[in-house]
Amino acid sequence: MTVVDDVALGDAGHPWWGARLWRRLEYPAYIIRRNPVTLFGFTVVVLFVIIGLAAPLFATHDPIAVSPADALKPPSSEFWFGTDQYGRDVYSRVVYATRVDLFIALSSVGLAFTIGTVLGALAGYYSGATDMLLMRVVDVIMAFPPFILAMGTAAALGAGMANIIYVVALIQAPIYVRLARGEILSTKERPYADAARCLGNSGPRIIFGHLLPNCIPPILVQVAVNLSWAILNAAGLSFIGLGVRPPTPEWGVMINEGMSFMLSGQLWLVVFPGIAIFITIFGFNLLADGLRDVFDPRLRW
Amino acid sequence: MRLLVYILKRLLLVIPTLIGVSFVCFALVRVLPGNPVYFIVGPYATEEEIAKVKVELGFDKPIYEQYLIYIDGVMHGDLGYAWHTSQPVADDIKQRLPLTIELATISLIITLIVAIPLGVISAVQRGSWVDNIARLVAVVGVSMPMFWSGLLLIYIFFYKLGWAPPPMGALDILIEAPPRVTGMILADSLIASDWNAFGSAISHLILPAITLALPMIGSITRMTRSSMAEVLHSDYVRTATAFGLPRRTVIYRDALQNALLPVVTMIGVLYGFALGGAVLVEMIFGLTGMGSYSFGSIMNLDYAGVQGVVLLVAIIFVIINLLVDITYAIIDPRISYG
Repeated sequence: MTVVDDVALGDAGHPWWGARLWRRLEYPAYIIRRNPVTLFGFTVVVLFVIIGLAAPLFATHDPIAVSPADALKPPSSEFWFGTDQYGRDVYSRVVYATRVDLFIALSSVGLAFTIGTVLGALAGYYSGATDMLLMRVVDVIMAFPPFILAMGTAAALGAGMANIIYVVALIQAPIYVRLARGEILSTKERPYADAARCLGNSGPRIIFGHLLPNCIPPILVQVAVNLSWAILNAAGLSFIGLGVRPPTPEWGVMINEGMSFMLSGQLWLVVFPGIAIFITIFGFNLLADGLRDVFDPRLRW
Repeated sequence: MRLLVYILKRLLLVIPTLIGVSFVCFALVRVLPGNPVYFIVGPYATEEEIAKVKVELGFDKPIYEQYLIYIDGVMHGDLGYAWHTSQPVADDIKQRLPLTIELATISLIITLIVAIPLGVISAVQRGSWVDNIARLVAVVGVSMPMFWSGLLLIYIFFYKLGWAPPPMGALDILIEAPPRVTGMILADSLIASDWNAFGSAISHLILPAITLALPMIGSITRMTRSSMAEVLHSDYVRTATAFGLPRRTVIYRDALQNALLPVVTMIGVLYGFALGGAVLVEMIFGLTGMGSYSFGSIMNLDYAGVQGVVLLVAIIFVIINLLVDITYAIIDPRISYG
């Protein structure tokens, strides 16, 4: 994009917002062109989001309709991924589960990101006793192996979709607290932060208007990584019976339900939900790699 | 001297963490759904019976007093009584902990044996087929949910090929367990020179250990590769090469030592991951360790059992991280003992 284009779009001093956006996207677009794997990851994620949103359009059967006559049928043109022991269509269940799993992942990571980043930023900027206390709390949460803490908390709160979101957010929030705090600690001494202070801006305004926007890129990489962990943890908890409850279609629950039929040869009950988890996480991981390339070229591998 | 001060400081920092951990464990269990009192007395209990059990369990006392009683008990090795096994929790854990530790350790060893060479080779021979395989392994490894890859391994190696034993327990039913010394089957059968039991235990533990290792292999391969690549581009490696040292010496003596430092810091995290993953893996492979025990406790609304497992696993995790930090301080002279 050159200056000539800006002029063609109208005001030379203030290029059209689309042009500005395009300029911002130029570098990421360059990275994606050079690294098609990232594009693949991005495509997979977008595809799964679409499948989740438009699940009724993709599904061929009712995901919870029981039909004993069709029980345990192998994959066919009628039932693409076969049927389970109640005669429910595995393909339609996998499709609807996309909605459930992505919803859990997005909302838990969103919750952890928001709370963790805000707390971490405040703690990093103001330091003092509250910072000290918050960091000890973070230490305590991180003293637990994540899945063990998730399991203990999920057991305490009881199974259910809302609780699993809180639990997965709880084990991830400390990561954002530490990240945001560290970033703010290193940026708050910069000249532009001083300048903002001298102009009489309030503390929160400096933190959220000036400092935090500059700290977001590394945190964004973490978000992509954490989305994949969130799906693994949520599916894992549901697998051991602490998460989403049957008959709601969810990948972990489906694998658990299919487990007992695997050794009588009905592998499709386990394979397809697993493949769905695998591809989703694969996509998030590739996306995280790509974002890392964009924001932190040092770590490119 | 400074190292000693650092170690002391690090040890002192563990105390507030452990107090916090114990508090969380206590608090978690106080909000568990379903009251164990009703679970114990059964559905036909009278008001008096319920009140009596509440007093027996100490539920009538104020929360802070219950916490102090709990801490006092923990200090004396009393983790409460597990109703679903009719045994003290401490005894249950003593029986089951060794298997989990064994499983986590084996999987960690497999991880390091596979991942470090793979990462090093792929960094040294960038763009070669080994590199491509390593990168694929790294992404695929971390993308597979353990409870799925474990089931697939069972399907392939037990159901289809018949190479692996059925996923039930850590020994064949017909083989007598070696006398208990450490509680770890492999170590015990080695001590007793019982090769039959040793072979059987290996064949039962290998698949779960691989299941647990797969995601760890992914992340460590990746880490070794990027850290090795960074070191290979550093000034001192270039200097060493310029001095005419053989490439082999430069890579395996000079570069590798520094490249492995970040991997050392990861060992603590990995162990925590393995302990958490053990819950899923033990459940799939029918192993009676801490994982399946905590699962059983949760399903039976057994306060004390869950509390005991979460507390103990957290303590183990804290200690391992402490050891890792100290080891790191000793082997990396650059660390500021802050």
